[in-house]
Amino acid sequence: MEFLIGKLTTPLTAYVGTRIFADVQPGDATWPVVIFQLLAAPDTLGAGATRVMTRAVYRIKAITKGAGMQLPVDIAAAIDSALHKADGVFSGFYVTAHRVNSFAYSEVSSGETFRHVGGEYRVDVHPQ
Amino acid sequence: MFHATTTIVFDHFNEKSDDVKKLVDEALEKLVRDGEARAKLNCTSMGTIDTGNMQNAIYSKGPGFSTFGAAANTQPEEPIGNHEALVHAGAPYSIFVDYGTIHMPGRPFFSEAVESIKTTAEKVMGQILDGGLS
Repeated sequence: MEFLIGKLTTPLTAYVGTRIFADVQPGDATWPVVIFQLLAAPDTLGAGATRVMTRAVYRIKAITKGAGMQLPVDIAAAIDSALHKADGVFSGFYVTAHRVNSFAYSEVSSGETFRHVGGEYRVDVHPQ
Repeated sequence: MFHATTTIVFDHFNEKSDDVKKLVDEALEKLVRDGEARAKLNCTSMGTIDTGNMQNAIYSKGPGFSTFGAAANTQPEEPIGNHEALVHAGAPYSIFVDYGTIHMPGRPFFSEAVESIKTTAEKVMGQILDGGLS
């Protein structure tokens, strides 16, 4: 998770400041935001149940207020530029990421339209 | 209106024998039935059940079978072609539960199930088409 935030913070500052949250917007009603959520993280085991790697999938999306599509699409593109084919070493682990799915949907709440646009990223983590 | 669906298609084996095609169809049925079961289990384990409508509207369909008739759907059954199979979450609000809203985090009952069978599908279909399973 720290790997993702580290990769996303700088590219997204112009769009959302520091409003990158896990699971849900915390409720201060400032938009847009970026939300990330862990979907699944199955382990790949070797002999003797040695943990060879973990293949996690994270859903990462922009949520914007208003009917316009350009801003959420731009934020999703910035997320993708930062994460698709990203790699690095973090806390003793090799980490790579790539997008496996993309999505967009709309929500109407209290008469306001909110756009959700983003992607699902496979994040492979294995020890150095 | 949104309907969450995942479809598995293996339609690039015209040169393969009928035995292999039969194996593929059997594997597809097993995969999507597993996907349906897992999505329904996820509804329970992820705490999504209120009336049970969303869980009951999940169905799977493949070569020669469909669980649509046993599902509680107000929408028509999704069509499929030869050597195709699908798992379908028929409740129109499924996407908001799975992907989340501005008020609540996503509870990926369906996406997790799809991810699970996708990994298995890649392994099993690869082995069948390479002749490793017969």
